[in-house]
Amino acid sequence: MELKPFVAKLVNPGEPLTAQAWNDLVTAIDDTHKFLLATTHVVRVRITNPDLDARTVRVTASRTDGPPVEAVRPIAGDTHHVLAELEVGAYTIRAEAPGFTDATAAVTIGELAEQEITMQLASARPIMPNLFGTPLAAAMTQAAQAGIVVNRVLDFLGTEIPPAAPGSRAAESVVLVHQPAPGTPVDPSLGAQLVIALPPEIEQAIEMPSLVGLTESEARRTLEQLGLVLGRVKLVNSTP
Amino acid sequence: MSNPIITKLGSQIAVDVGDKPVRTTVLRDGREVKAPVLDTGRVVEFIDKLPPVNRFSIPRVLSQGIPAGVKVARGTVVDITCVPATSIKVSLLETSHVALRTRTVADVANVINDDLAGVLAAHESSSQLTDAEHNQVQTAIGQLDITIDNTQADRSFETAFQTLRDVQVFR
Repeated sequence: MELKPFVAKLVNPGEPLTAQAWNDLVTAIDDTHKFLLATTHVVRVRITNPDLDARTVRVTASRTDGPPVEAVRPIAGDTHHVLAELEVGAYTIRAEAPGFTDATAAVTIGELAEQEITMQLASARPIMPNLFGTPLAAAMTQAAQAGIVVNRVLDFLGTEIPPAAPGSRAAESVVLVHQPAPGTPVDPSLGAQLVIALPPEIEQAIEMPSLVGLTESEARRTLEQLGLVLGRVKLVNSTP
Repeated sequence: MSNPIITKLGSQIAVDVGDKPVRTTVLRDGREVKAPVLDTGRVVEFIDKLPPVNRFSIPRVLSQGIPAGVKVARGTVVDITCVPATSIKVSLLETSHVALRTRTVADVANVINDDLAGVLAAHESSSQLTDAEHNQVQTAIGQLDITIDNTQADRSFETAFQTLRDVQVFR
């Protein structure tokens, strides 16, 4: 909108105020109001990614003949980024966030004082598949196919299981929990962690044999045959 | 080390792997120590003068860190205390013939020959002995010069038999 030239016509005391003069005055005020509206355009941008905190998103508006403008990020429960005081013209709105591909939208600022656009960013990170109930071997394959590195596997007692060589028992055990949750982008630097339902291996208890009367070497051999270990050997020369 | 030298001597092949002596690794408290080089001649002379070691002087396990019968996990470490049989009194046994309690298990085990050891191992009670086996046990008891009184439990033939059975592990 263009601002029309304004002719300042003053009235001397005693001179009558004509209807023409009054209408010129009202028209000038209306033009000023419209001009102000036209020069304080606001664009409200709503980021629609459900798994993305909008406050981490940077939104800018740029045009070829002027510097870019950065939007005010959402505050106090609001979900919109606000680009204010945009002049008339064609803008490119860009939304960017860590782990996501930049999203852009074209906006033309014209008569409307305020307009709203929605934008969605595509994740640049692999999305965690739902691995619950999947045997570990298959889960590892699915994760690898999704470009996710599983860097930690635990059984439900918290025992570490090497992801590269989990062993046959663990490979057949199903996934109980995984981090991050299904549908969540996986940070490549953190990878994924799985907890599997590997039943604890019940170690057979060994009944301690009597070693009385054996020599040290006999005692050592007896213990080793049972999977036990000879510890300190105290030699006493005579009874008190 | 120089390259090994292989020499064929008739049907045998000799391999000389190097000119340096083989070094034995000895660890004491986690530290490697050097194995001493002894004067072979003096060692032989010294050994010739020593009496042979009596088997009863070899230390035997008298106590163990974990009592027998306790259930333990694989890999458990068991400490032991060893004492020569010549120092272990028969009185340490839970039950024994009264006349043997002041003697050592070595004294008592000394009368057990291989035949008697077979008899003691074959029967859990003196009531299972044949007449010939009974005589063998009686002979050993005679060598120990103790009196049998079957009217008293701690002086009975059965108790003496069980004492012999208990000490034979120290042979």
